[in-house]
Amino acid sequence: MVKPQAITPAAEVTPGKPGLFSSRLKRDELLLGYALLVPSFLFIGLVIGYPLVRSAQLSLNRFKLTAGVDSEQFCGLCNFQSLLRDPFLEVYLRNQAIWVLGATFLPILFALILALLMDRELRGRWFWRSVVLIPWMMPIATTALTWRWIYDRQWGLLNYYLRQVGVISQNVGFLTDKLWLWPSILLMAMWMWFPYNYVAILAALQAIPKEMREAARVDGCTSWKEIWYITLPSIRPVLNLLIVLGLIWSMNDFTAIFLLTEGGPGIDSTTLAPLVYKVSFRYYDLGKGAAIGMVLMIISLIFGAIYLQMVKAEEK
Amino acid sequence: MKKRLTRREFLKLGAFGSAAFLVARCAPAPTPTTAPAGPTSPPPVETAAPPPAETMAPAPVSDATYEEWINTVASTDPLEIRIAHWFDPNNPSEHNQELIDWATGEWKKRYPNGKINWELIGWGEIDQKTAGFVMANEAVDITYNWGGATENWCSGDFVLPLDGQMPQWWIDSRIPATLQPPSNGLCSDGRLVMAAMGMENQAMIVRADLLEAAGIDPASLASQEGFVAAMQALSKQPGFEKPYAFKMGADWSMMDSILFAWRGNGLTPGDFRPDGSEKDAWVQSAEFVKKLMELTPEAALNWTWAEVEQAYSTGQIAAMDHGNWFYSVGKTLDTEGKIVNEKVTGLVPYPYGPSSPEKKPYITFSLTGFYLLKTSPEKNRRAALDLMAILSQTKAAWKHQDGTVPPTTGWTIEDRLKEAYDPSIAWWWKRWEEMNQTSRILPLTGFLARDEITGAAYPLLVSMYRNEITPEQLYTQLREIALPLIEAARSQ
Repeated sequence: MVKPQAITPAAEVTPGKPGLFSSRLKRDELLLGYALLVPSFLFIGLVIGYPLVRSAQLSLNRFKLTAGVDSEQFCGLCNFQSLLRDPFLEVYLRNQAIWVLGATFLPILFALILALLMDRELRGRWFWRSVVLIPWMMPIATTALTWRWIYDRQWGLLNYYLRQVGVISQNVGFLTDKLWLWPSILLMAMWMWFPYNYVAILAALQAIPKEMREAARVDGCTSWKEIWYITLPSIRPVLNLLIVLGLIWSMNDFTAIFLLTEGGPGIDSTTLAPLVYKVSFRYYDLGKGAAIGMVLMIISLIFGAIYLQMVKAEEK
Repeated sequence: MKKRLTRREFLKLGAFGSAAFLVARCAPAPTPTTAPAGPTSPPPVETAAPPPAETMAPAPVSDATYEEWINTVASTDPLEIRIAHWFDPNNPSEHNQELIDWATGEWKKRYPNGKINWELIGWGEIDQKTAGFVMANEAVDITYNWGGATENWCSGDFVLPLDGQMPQWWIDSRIPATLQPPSNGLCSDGRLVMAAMGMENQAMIVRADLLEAAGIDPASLASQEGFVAAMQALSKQPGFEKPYAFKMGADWSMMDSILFAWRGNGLTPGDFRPDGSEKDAWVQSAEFVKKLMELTPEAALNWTWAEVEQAYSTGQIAAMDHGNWFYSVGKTLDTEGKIVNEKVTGLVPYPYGPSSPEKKPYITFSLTGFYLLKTSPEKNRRAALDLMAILSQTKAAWKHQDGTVPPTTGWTIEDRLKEAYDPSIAWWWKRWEEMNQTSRILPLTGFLARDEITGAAYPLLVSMYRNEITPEQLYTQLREIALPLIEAARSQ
């Protein structure tokens, strides 16, 4: 690779003192560069750095708004201890695991199947490819409220059609029955998030050299073997990235699950993000809310670090 | 020679600078001292401790009539008042705008150079936003909410008392009972903090036509036992296997919809005493709830107010606990007028339980209205109080509360109908008026650590619905969680 030549007009103008003007210019350029970065640093500091430090500080303080706006007091790890003593902690963690794993892997799996189907000569291929993107374009609030209505046990569309075609004789409580609650929530998550994964996977599929596939077919490879030995290994880096991003996003997701079920019935679908909201803004316990938020952030950071490692490895 | 700033040094400098900034911002605010404030000091922080007169700028209470008062210029200063006013995003009402325009015009008579900034906030957000204003010390003067927020706001020291601050014509117009404890327009220590505009009565709404068809005398619904028997009879009517509905889709709505079971039995759901003397009455109330849960459709596990309202208005359930504001909701949902009309919809008071000392049914009420926030700049407070008085004055209250009974005196239903937007509301008002005359009226009250106990009770109540725990186990398990919460709240 050819490195760009440094422009040093100063050296030409002042031949007697080589490098002096050049270094000053370099320094000025550097300072200008840093000065230009200052607004970004300030912005990031204000919108990310400050809330982060404040949350960390809050998580170590006892601060209940109903005890007074000035009642904030340092209490060490009291909020974390209170979280550990919560009689429902096990349920929250179980819900979090189901949600994060389900809302990450199901959309990817579905997107993969769909991308494999679409990555071939189909009539009206561009039309179908566009249609698939519609769920992604819908606002999450609209999606969640629509699904809430579809699933309703009393007057939901799903129950109506299932009864019409004779699959069920009595309405099913998709959002109220323990058996159906999580499959119903995850179906919505899959519908909402598969298009993003689909676009990424389809792009990766199209980057696989045609010659590789043709050679495999000439060698007598079946379609299944082609997918297993050629397609999947070729798109593995993209799949890995999608998995890590999915884990991070679903870990912090609040809107979808809260609008669909409000964490209920009871706490049957309460994950950590809605819990932060409930504790902080319904019970006004800002200290404990911040402590749960910190736990959530640390788990997300771990996945974030993995993601960065992957990006680095990709770049190499 | 000046040293060249390396990238590392620059970043280090930036990091130190940011850290210093953050440390400075995170440091606790300086404790106010008793030393006299200098001319550049900020105004002293108000405290909510009584007596209220000392906590606010001294302001004479006017003895003038409304006409005299409103036509007197109070100040020509260029004041700017900020008011967080509610609106319903699903049903933006022209009436609301009409009130805003009218109140602004009236207020400008007293403050000709003043300005009011109306900040419209959705009903679901106003609680959190108000807390946010106070936390951020935003100079917001007035907020609107329902009385359920009062206890939290008093204990959090968000609001300023109105005692001794309102003009006499306003005080004279109030129903005296609404200014008495334990009304939820007052703090638990008795300070008046809300200029009430609406008085939301709550009772049972039932399908009178179905009761008649089943041969049930509405008077038999007066006791909890009779109420369950009536619901069981309704469940035998065609299409009504599960005729009743609790609002079980969220902790707050669930708590709202079960309160009457405890209140009718002389308790609250948060009434846990160290000596356990509440046990029998508490378990009786839980058993009553359990019996009604057996008559509640499973779909209600995911329903809050809106869905229960929809279920009743479309004839899918036959009874629910609701308030007088249901009229406008029901009219919107029941467009053909098949359910929400004089012949079909009946009102009955809440039933009493076996441990009720009075053995009489009752209705309850909650107030909605305006609060003066502690963030209101001192120079604005008199003008803000005047705006609150104008907004909640009799005429405005009667006119702008479609379904509710305003907390004001002196007007008959006939007078009110002259101001009403929809005169067909007459039968509804008359029914509530009848109940006001014939039932016990208990103001809606909260209880210590209500939010946390509500949060803990909710999953347990769902478990009871699913027959995973009995009413007695509900009591035992909730008591174990609630007692420390109550203790902690008491020590705050």
